[in-house]
Amino acid sequence: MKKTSRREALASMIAGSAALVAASAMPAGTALAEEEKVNVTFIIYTAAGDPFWNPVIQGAQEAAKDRGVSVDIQYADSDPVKQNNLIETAIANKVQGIALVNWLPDAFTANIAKARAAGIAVITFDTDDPKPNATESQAYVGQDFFAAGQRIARKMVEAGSLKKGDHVVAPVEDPDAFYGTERYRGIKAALDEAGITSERLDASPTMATALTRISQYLVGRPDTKAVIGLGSVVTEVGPQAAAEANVTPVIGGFDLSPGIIDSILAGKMVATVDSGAYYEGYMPIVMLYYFVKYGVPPSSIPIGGTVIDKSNAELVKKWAGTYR
Amino acid sequence: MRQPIVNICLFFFVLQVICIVASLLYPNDFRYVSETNIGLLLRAIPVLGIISLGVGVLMITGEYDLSVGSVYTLAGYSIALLFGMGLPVWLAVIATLAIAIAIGVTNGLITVKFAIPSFIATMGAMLVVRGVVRWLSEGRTVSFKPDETFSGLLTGAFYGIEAPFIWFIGLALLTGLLVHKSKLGNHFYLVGGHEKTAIAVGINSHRVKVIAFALASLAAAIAGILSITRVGTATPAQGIGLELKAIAVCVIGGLFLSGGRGTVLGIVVGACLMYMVEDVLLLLRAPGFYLDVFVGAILVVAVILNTWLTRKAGK
Amino acid sequence: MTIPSSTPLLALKGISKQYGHVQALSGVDFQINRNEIVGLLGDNGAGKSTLVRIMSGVEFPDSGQVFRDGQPATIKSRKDSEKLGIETIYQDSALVGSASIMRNFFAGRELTKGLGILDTHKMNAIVMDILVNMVRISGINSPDILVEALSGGQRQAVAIARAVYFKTAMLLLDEPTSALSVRETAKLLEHLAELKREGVSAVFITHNLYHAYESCDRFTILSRGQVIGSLAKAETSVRELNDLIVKY
Ligand SMILES: Nc1ncnc2c1ncn2[C@@H]1O[C@H](COP(=O)(O)OP(=O)(O)OP(=O)(O)O)[C@@H](O)[C@H]1O
Ligand SMILES: [Mg+2]
Repeated sequence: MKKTSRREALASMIAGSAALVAASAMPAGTALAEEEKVNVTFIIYTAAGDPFWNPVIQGAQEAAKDRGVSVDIQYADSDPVKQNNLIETAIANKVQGIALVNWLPDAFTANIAKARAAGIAVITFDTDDPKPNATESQAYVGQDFFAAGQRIARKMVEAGSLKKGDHVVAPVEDPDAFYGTERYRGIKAALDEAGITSERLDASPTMATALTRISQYLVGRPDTKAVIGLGSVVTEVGPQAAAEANVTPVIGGFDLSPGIIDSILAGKMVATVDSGAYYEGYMPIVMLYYFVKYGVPPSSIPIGGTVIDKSNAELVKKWAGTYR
Repeated sequence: MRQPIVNICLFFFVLQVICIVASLLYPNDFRYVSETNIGLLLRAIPVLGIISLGVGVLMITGEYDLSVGSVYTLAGYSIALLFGMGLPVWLAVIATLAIAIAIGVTNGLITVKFAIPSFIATMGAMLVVRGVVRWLSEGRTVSFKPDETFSGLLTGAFYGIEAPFIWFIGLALLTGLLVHKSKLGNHFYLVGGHEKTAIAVGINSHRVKVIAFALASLAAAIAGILSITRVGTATPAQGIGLELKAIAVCVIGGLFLSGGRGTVLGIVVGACLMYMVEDVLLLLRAPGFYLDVFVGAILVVAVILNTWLTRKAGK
Repeated sequence: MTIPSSTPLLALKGISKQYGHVQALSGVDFQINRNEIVGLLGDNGAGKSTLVRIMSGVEFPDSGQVFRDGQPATIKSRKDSEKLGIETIYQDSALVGSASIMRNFFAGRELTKGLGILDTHKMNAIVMDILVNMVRISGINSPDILVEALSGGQRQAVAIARAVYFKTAMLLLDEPTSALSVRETAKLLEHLAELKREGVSAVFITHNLYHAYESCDRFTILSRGQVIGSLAKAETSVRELNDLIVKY
């Protein structure tokens, strides 16, 4: 899950570039006969063009090719209304499966139910309603934010030899972002257990501003032992912020980006958590196919959450942008 | 009437004295006067400061530009991509600045030729430019690693003073010369003060405004280049909200939303104040997650105080 | 080439101007002679301000011709009217309130030291000299005072001083006295007389017929966009002017 803000909904007006990218993202025709194909609508919730989705799309397209699925990738421009329209269009087109990001609790529950009632298979990926069984979606493929938060926190405690009474800061791009709230909940749970205090910092999605705010925070609280970025931007600037504030906390966070991987390889960052983006695209398509063809029930898969550190970062670097 | 600039400078000065004294009294709890913090401030202020210089000039002519945040982001992408394509860095800079000027001129022409509020015209530009950024950024690495000479020039230090701050002050002096000492600058004020009168005395108000729009865009692009050189990477979501922050800086600095008034010194002090507020809050360990709440409240108080003092002095 | 003194300084022939459905001016003939103050009279909405705006180049007539010293001329912009020696003091917008006296005085005609850099020093000196020695405004001691801090009369005086300095041939005054006190009005009328002595012609729009009668040499009366009379001072009286305006 990538950092995103509601403000990005503004981008919904930029239909031009969205259409362009959507068109280029259409799968190349496969050798299988048309009537055998399973039709799936795959809804990405942001506007087109966010590089985070590249491995997801790659996964979806490779799965489609492998299984003989005709996948139609659509973008909701971070607009719940548009996403509901896309779901309704898919229902009207009588597709056999829908994969979507349930990024706003309660917003898509009704239409998911409508799709299921129409006999369409539904799988959510990347983000799901935090309440168990809140929707009729048959399965969720994505990171368990809470668990991922716990995992990185434990890794940081170990790497920095943090002990009771130490302090940790967790900067985030957008205080309202769901991923940030959930990941922090996991981090805090793990740190509280160890008697370590923690605090979130609203750092803004602008790199220069985030850099300054994190540095200023570290100047004000030089006793901070660890910085855990909750999203890719704040994670990426972490090492530079520490350097500018002239302090040496351990640094880690979430998501993969070339900058983050380089920092890990250079030893300036301890670890980051992989979101498993490729499987977010691959698995839903595969499960929808087997369900439609043979009735194999889909099942939730907590993908991602793998901690990436110096030991396995090299491989990530190699496949960044395609499989990672 | 006493100029608002006098109050805001006074306010700034008093705040500085308090902070410095507090910092000397409690050096371990409030590290305001530490080398690190001063270095941080000097690196942080210029980005918003330079954008505000452009936005301020435009505000003096009575117009706004909501697209500066997007142009700021686009500039980062533009220079990184052009440089990545093998263009010499200075050519990438020139091309990026030219693109920004073109956007500014377009904003200006749309605003004056169709006589629509600049708020709307530039909101359109804000969305379009951000869309272009999304489109450009797709699947591309947007890191920018120019040679040492270039990055040193933009982000190094001269005689212990951070280069970005020197650039900021240099640009502020240039802006001051333009706005306060030049013929064109006088026209900015007259057009912003009362456009009909300016036209009546023979000033081409359309031309003046288009130039101001171009300057606003240019300033945003300079800030964008400065900041990508500093952090080495640009992200599509960056710069959102900078347009409003820049307007806030100008208002704090004593510029009027209605145009025709204000000083470059005010903009500089406004930008410093804006960052100082955030800095001091973080140094004082205000809850970082709710930082904007405090920043917002303090800004409103600052403007109220400034307005009140100005009125009082006017009586 | 010598121009006979009987040729009007500025003559307008058959000027028409329409705003949407409103015929603001229809076939108006108007002239300003040498060394003459013309009173432009008429009820609200008669078209007086429109005529002034056309002469100063901020509005363009739908049809009609303009002659300067008998030669055909065009007024397409403020720059054109400036070249013809026309200066206007508007009813509503003579000066920019938020700018200083000096910056208003030289608005659009700034003196520079080259490269577009203002010669502030010189401009300040000129402004103070004119204000103190020629127009004699009391209470102004600095060229940096903002115009919004001046009284209505002081503002008019600044605008008149500007016309004097820039050697205007014709000064167009659109209701200059509307916001002035009795004393300030008297002062303004004095300025007008002084201007005439310096060889400046003027068009004076006012709703106060006594003021008009006192200071003007000739009167042109407009009604609903048409000229209904042009009379020399000698052949008319306040009463007759009043009757003319009211009757139509
Ligand atoms: N910009 C405009 N748009 C539309 N109509 C206009 C405009 N300017 C003037 N008019 C109309 O043209 C007519 C003449 O207006 P003008 O301002 O010339 O009158 P005036 O003689 O100066 O009146 P007053 O003594 O009230 O100032 C009026 O009917 C007015 O409503
Ligand atoms: Mg009028």
